[in-house]
Amino acid sequence: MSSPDPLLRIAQFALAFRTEAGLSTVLDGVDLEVARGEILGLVGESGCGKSTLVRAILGLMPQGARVLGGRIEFGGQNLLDLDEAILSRDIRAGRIGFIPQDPFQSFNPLFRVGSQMLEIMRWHAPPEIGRSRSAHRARLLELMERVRIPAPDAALKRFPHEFSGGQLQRLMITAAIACKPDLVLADEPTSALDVTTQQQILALLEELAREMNTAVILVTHDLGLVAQYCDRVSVMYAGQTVESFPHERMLEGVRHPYTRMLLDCHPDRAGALKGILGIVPGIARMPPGCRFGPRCPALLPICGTRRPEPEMLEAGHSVQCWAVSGSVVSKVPADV
Amino acid sequence: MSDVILEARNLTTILGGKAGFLQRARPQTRAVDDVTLQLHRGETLGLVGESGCGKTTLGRTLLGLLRETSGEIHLEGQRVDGLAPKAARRVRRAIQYLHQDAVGALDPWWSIGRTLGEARQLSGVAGDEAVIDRMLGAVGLDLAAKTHYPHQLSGGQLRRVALARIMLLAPKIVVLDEPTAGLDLSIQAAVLRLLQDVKTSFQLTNLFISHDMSVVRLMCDRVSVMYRGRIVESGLSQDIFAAQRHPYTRALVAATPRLSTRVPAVALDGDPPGLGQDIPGCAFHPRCAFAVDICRTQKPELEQAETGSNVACHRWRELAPANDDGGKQNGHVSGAAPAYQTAR
Amino acid sequence: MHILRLFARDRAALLGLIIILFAVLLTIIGPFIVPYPDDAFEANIMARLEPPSWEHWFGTDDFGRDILTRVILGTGNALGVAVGVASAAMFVGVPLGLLAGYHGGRFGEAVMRVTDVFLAVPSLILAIALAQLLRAGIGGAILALSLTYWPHFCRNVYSETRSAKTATFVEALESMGASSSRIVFMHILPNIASPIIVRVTVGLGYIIMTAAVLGFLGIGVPPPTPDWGAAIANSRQHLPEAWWLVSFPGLAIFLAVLGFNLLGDGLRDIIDPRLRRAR
Repeated sequence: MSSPDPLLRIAQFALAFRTEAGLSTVLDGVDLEVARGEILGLVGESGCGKSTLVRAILGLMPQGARVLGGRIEFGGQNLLDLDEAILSRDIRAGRIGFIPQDPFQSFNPLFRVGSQMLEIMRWHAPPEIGRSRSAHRARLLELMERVRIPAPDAALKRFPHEFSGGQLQRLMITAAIACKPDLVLADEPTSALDVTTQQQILALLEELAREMNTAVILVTHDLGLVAQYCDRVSVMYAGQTVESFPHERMLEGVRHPYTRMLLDCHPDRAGALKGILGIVPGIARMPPGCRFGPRCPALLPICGTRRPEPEMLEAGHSVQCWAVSGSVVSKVPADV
Repeated sequence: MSDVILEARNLTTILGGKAGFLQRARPQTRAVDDVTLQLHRGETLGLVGESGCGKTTLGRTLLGLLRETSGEIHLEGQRVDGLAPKAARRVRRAIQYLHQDAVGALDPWWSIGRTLGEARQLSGVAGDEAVIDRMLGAVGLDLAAKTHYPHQLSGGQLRRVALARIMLLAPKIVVLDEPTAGLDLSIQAAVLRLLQDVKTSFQLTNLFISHDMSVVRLMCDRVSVMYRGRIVESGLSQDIFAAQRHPYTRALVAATPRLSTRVPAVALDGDPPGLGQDIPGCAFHPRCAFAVDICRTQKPELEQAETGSNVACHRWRELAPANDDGGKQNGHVSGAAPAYQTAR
Repeated sequence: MHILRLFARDRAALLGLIIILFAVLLTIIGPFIVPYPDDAFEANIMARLEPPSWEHWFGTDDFGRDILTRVILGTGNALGVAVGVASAAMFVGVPLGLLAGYHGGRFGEAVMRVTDVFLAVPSLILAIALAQLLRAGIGGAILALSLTYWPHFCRNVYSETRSAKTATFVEALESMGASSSRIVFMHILPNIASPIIVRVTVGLGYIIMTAAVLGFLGIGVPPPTPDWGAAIANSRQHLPEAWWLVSFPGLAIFLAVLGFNLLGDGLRDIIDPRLRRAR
């Protein structure tokens, strides 16, 4: 899609959960790529599956989840082929870091933060950092200075409840990048924080990611943040990816009807008081084909039968939409 | 200038501090600290600030759900302060409150029709079923909703029901408590549209409490910015977003993610102060890049900067108002260096 | 109906329900189907202490009365006392708990301290002491048991009300100017009814136990009215040979308490997650 040798490539990934109503396809054909050192924004509204996708990359799927197809290739290797033991030993924390949403739930309240972070290092630190506890400690202290935790030495001995939300997220960032991962998955890392703290955290994350050439998938529902920090953006709707584009395209140049309508809903835009007619269908009642179909102004008959295939419009910009597809003259009205 | 429908003078609300029988007192906080503001008929006034700034407490004090510790409240010219919550709510029934949690605001064991009927009863105004039907139409709900129970409706529908319920009480002022917090963008747009429509149809005055500056910018005529219980700046929405006078307002506006900004915003140093900590002088001084001695000792009062604009800062005259869209000035707002370059 | 289907899945609860329904049935039609209706009150010394046989399925007691008859007739007594006590205790405890929980303050504290006093004494001992103080007979027993158990209901209702009070809709009602009594009785009460019903159901089991103990001690219905506890008391002199004197009344008590406990547990499981989501 975007680069010849992406760090992470998710191709036609489909995942189903077992629910009371049977097997529900939560992720239906997800296509995503992240290049080395790239910051990708993964956006979508509630229920689009972005958090599920992120956890699926790490192999953290709930009981009763079944992979229906597709591949998740990381550094050339299909993560879906790896078993739990290898995933937890080699991939998680070591090569893929994770920053979850709620900082107050991320640490075990009973143990000091230092011991928790050292434990991560003990199991996942790459050889170049060293094997000894003191080497790990030194690395943590150095990072904590970078993320501006006051008095890092003393901080290591503190318990999670002694820190504020912003500080805890900075500690989570430390823990996530301590082992020099190639990729960091940040699942709404700042939703629970105030807006000024949010900027501190994200600016920090961006700076560190650039410095260490670590790729980041930033999962968020805030389009403004994505516009600010992300190199590329992928939009999801009801378990399907609909469009991926470089950030320059954000203000004008997005093609998928959903993306356009969603951007229009932002308070900075004129359509902020319009909304999108209809609601996201319940998980057991997903329409066939393109799931946005029932709400789409550019609906074509084919949309209800086959899921649109990803089509590359130009470098870094791909769309999954029959109405926009190159083979069909664009029928999307200009003022959608 | 429209007339003032609601006014607070030197309003202070102190939370905690009272010991129950055999119970230790919680630490005291001045959640609302000497606030003076006016709400003009027909306008939407935004109360903005981050967590712990006291905007929700201020809203609830104005409503009467919380009893103020000192100060005056005037509603349509009458003094209405100094009352316990139940009495206060009776006297101030022209002000109604839309909860952030619309779903929880409805009794799960009552049908929608019964809930709305109760609101009509409480309003004391005579009326029949038609009034309820009209109200359902005004909020965009089908009449069939009356026979349903809360668990059968979606979050969006329940929000409309909650709004209809308040409107049946015929308020003049509606306090909206974080109406868009946690909402998806498309749903947020629909909610804002609904609020706008209802306000116009029923000629309401709104107090819009929110931490989301983009939404406030869209919806509010005037804005008051709060920090630690005090109003630090207030004025017309377009003025405040164009040029901020108070360093905190500057930081807040700069930190708000915009669709058009590429450059990283200025990061404000440090964390918001914990509640219960008493900070001498200006509460913002520990995080302010421009703090001088007087800031550490004396609390700044709200001064009029120009008609309709007030700011509470000792140095506001010297500090040039910052322009919005910090992208125009090398990535940082004039006068304040990016956080990661500040010497420590 | 949805609820019955949920019941069907929980076998223990179903068993409890069956037992209780059976007991209620016995109460209603018992007097008409017992094999020896006269044995409720008349003695038949010729047939005393006969072991279980085809004529007397449960045997006869020391007065020659058919034990099966007396156990069945005692059911009505036991259930009647239990329901009577529960009703009286709830009549006092529920409104007090509601008002104390909602208003709090000094009134709430005062009510809680009063219940503390009652709860400080173990229920059984309190019941016995009170029964001794009050007039003899079934009336006294019911009064004593009501006084013993109302604090339990009161406290349950109090804590449920306290937590219900924090619900957003309660605050919404207050902000709309609804009166306290409207909020308490029309809104909070229906919302806490489910957990209270569960506790009352289990409580009925405890009341039956305690009533049986009172009967055992001779406090309660005057003889010769059939009573499970009294029957067990009578059996002491004739143990261990006449084992049937104690076993069958004891079994009846056991089943009754078991029935209410199982039913209560089942109700809790059903009401808690599912109905809460449904309503």
